[in-house]
Amino acid sequence: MTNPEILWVPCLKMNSQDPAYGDRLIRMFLLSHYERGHVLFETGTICSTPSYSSLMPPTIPASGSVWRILPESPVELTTLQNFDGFIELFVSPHHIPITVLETLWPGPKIKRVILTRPKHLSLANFVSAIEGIRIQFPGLGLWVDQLTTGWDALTYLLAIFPDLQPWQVQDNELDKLLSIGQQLGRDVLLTDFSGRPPIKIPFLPRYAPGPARKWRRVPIYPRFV
Amino acid sequence: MEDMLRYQPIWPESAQAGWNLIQMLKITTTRSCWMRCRFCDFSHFVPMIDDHPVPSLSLLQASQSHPALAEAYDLIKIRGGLSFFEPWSYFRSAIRHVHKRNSAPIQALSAVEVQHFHRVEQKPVQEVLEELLWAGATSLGPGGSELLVDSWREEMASLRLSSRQWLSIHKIAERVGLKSQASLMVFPGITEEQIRVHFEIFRELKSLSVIEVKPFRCLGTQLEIMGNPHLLEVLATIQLIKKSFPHVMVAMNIDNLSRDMCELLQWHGVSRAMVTKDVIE
Repeated sequence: MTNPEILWVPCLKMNSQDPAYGDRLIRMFLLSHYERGHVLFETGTICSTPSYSSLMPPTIPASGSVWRILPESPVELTTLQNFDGFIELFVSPHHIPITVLETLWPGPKIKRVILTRPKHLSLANFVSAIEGIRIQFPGLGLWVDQLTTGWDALTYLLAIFPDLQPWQVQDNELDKLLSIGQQLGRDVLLTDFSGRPPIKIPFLPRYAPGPARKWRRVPIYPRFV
Repeated sequence: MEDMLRYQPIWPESAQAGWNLIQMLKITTTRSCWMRCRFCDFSHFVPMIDDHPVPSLSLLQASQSHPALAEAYDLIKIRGGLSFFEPWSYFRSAIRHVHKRNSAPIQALSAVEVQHFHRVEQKPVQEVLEELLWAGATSLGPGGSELLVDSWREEMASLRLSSRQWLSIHKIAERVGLKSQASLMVFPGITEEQIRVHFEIFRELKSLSVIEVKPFRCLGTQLEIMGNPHLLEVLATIQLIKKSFPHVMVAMNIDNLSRDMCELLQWHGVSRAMVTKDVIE
């Protein structure tokens, strides 16, 4: 059995930019990521992008769109039930919206649940919180926010939960994700939620355990020669 | 890729019991060394020319008067590069002074230094070790046991003692009454086979009770381009140690490590967490 892949979804947050400039920014963001990338709209203006979610309290997003719900601004269950679209749920282990999950899962409405880690939560408690959600809601797409989790904890979580995915891995830290993939023997794929096929990212070259004198040379990945 | 060390995920529930925090005083004899090992950050070769004279050591003065020696510690580590001028008697006196001023156990020098003084002063190894014990050392440091694979040592530190020489010095140390300390330096790309060869040497030591895991720190060494080992390589190495030597304690320096990393080390079987409380250089 091959190991499941690790997904890398580049994220762009759009807040108060001018819509025209925003369009250009999104275009450049997608171009620089092989047309894969997820955009979060924090304002009312939504440009057409293949993969996006919107965060527009207190208004309800347009039907068919993906609504991001944050732990600090929970939405009532009835509003969610009436919403004609999809949900991207941010969850903190201290405040898991059990009722929402129990009502809407399993079902097509919840697209993914993104776990953020509170500052003083120990890794052991975070692991048990994740395990609790996995047991209670099997099959739920779980993502872990890298920025609040930290790299050491994320490395361990990806090793222990093969179905977990990292969220918000920055471009300049992609090498860290690639080394985790390399260590775990799992491919890293560049993707988003548009349904387009993912792109495999080649691993970084490793120094061969051969003669050390060769280690001082610049490594060349065969694909680039 | 096939020879890569593979990490086997474990649950927090299977955490090993015990996490002893060891407060250390680190005494560095010298940062200069003639051995030029490529992985060592002490390996700053100082050429003997007029403009760059080798500085004389201040270890003896420090051992007599440094205020840090009045504090309480769980362990005093005396280590450093190989000196150019100071004789064995200088180090012996310094260790003696440290011992007189502080009652903490002293892990002094290592097989590399013992071999150095044995060569330079034409003194039998056993005599050097007996004098080390007399001076107040309780154990011989693990230096020299980074990775006891001779082909690797040839490439990385051709002037360093061979794995057999390291073993024989530690066997004599055991006979003399010094506790054996061993280590394993985790390099990026370390293989399971290399670790197994390394462990074969350890098996010949009777009193081995602690193995110190040292993740390679590339900064300041000749191998900076290699980078540091991955967290999973370090954890996989600890797993291998616990599997091969279940009775041996695993130690690691936790200075500058994140809280998560410390938690992970504890779950994976590190029971001696060493913290540097003071440094004398």
